[in-house]
Amino acid sequence: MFRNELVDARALPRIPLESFSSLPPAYLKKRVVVAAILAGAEMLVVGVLWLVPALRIEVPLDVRLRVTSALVLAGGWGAIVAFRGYARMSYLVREHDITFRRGWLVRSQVTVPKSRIQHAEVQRGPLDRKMGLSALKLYTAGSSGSNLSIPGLPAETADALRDALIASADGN
Amino acid sequence: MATDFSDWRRQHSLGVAVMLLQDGFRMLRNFVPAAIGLIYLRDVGIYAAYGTAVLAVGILAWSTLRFLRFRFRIDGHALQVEEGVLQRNRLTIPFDRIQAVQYQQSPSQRLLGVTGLAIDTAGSAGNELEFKALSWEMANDLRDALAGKAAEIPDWTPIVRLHWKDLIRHAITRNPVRNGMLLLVFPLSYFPNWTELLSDGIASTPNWAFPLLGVAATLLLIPFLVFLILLGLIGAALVVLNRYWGLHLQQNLSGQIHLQSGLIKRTAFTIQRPKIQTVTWRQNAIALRLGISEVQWTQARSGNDINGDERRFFIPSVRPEQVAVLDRLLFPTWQPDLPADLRPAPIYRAVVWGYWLLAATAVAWNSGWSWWGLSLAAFIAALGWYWSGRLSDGRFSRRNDTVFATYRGWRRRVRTLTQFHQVQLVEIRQPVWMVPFKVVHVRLQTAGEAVALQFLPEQEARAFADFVLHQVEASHEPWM
Repeated sequence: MFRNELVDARALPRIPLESFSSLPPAYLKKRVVVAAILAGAEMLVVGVLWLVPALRIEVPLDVRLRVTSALVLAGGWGAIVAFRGYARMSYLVREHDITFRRGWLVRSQVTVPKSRIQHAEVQRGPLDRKMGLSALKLYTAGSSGSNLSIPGLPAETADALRDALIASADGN
Repeated sequence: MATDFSDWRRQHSLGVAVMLLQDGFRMLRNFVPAAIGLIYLRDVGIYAAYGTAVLAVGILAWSTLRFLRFRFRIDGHALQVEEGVLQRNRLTIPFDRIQAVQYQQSPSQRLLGVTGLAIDTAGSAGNELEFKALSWEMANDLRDALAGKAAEIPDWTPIVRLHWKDLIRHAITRNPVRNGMLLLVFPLSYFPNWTELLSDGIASTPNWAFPLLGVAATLLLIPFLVFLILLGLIGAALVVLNRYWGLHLQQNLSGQIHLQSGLIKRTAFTIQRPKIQTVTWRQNAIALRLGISEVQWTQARSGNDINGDERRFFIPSVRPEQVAVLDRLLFPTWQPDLPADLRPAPIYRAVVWGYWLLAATAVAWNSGWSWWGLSLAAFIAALGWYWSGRLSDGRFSRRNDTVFATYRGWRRRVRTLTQFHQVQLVEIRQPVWMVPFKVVHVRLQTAGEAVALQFLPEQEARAFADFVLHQVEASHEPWM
């Protein structure tokens, strides 16, 4: 039967903004490595561009300059995002829900109640395996835009979290 | 229950005919280009005839096989279906995964006196399932059996029934003036040089004819406009009447909701209340004047289409007293006179006004900062100030401990209701420029649509998010 108890809004538990845990430094390292690989690829393109005259194919100077500056800017931007994006990433697990904060230019804080988690997934790419990291993905019943994914957790933490979240979803 | 579903059953034997017609139509549609090509080739007529005959026999055999291979039964609390000719599938759909049962009667099915039945499932339960041909009785029995309430199916009570006059009223809200103007623009686009044609016409008209033409134009102008509006209205009315003819919403005691409508293609479906995620009432300026609103509800996405959109259903043209009835049906604890809270911060009005100021600046710029350009810009800015104020006033929310409603808009009003315990995820979002203003957006994602509150003061928004999370955990009602 339907119940409707009184709720005292002031006594509700708040999300404690000061007790979030940030992601391990290994994840920052991974972000830097990924950004460096991308920047390296871009620099490779730049290198080829400036060596083209040696291959006797004409590329106008202004095109070369524009492409070079664009690629250098993109590499720099990637490096900035790698650091700034990492800085705000943090997560918090409470008894009934899990919260993840992220974002540099657009900040976002997503909370998923444990009882609404449909399934949880742990993903490990080759770099993740090398650095002992895992990405935890949580799926709810909502349509696109209703999933929570936490990249770069320590592998044991991700596994433990997945098991704990699924257990509490079952126990409900 | 009249029909026993515990043994394997096939569909109504006319299902062969329905499948034949549907496969035939599909085949025809795909072969039309080839057929047109054949007409231009000589001396192939006889081969074309052979080919057609072979195809026809093939389709007949195919649809017969498909019909014979399609069997279904109810095993405990699950529907089992076997289907497929070359690749054989066996589906098991537990009753509690069924989102909605929908009747679909296309003209071919109506001709044969049978009905199609589509079963929506959510999440990864399996494919969406479609019966091609069931008799009405068997469809009803199956629906009742799937609801698991076969023994004590209570009577249906009518909740909302739309008259054709309601539908015409809805067609009027589709803005016949604009539609008429569009109808005028289309023929004009066939004569891209109509300005030249017009000036040529004027040049070749003798002087004495101008007064006559003037009188004739004035006399004809009003009937012409009326004609345009009528044309727009008829166009909208045909669509609306066809889709929503005889719309009928019923409810039974076990909390099921049944909706049926349609003129050429009749659809009807039955849904459990908890499967409805959000309900939205919409009114544009015309509907506001006529006092009617359009209701839309969403349920969770259907089938195994992970990234698919949620499903939506519409009831057009709902009168105020029917709105109250629907409110009571869908949200029993809802009181429309709750105090308004969670209004956007003043920065929201500034942002809206900012767009108007941009437009005003563009106007002044284009006029070369002339006095009339500047005064027009000032007028636009003033209008924008007023408009943004009304929009800002129109944006608020109402809530009790279970139901949450957002209101927005001024000339075009939208009200969305959802229940806290149907929320799947809460997001607080803040583009970096909003940080110094201490303003954030909040998004509550349900299994259907998301409900968004924009430009809330940060403190209030965080307290609200805490409240929502508390209410989600506090409830043990089914949310899907």
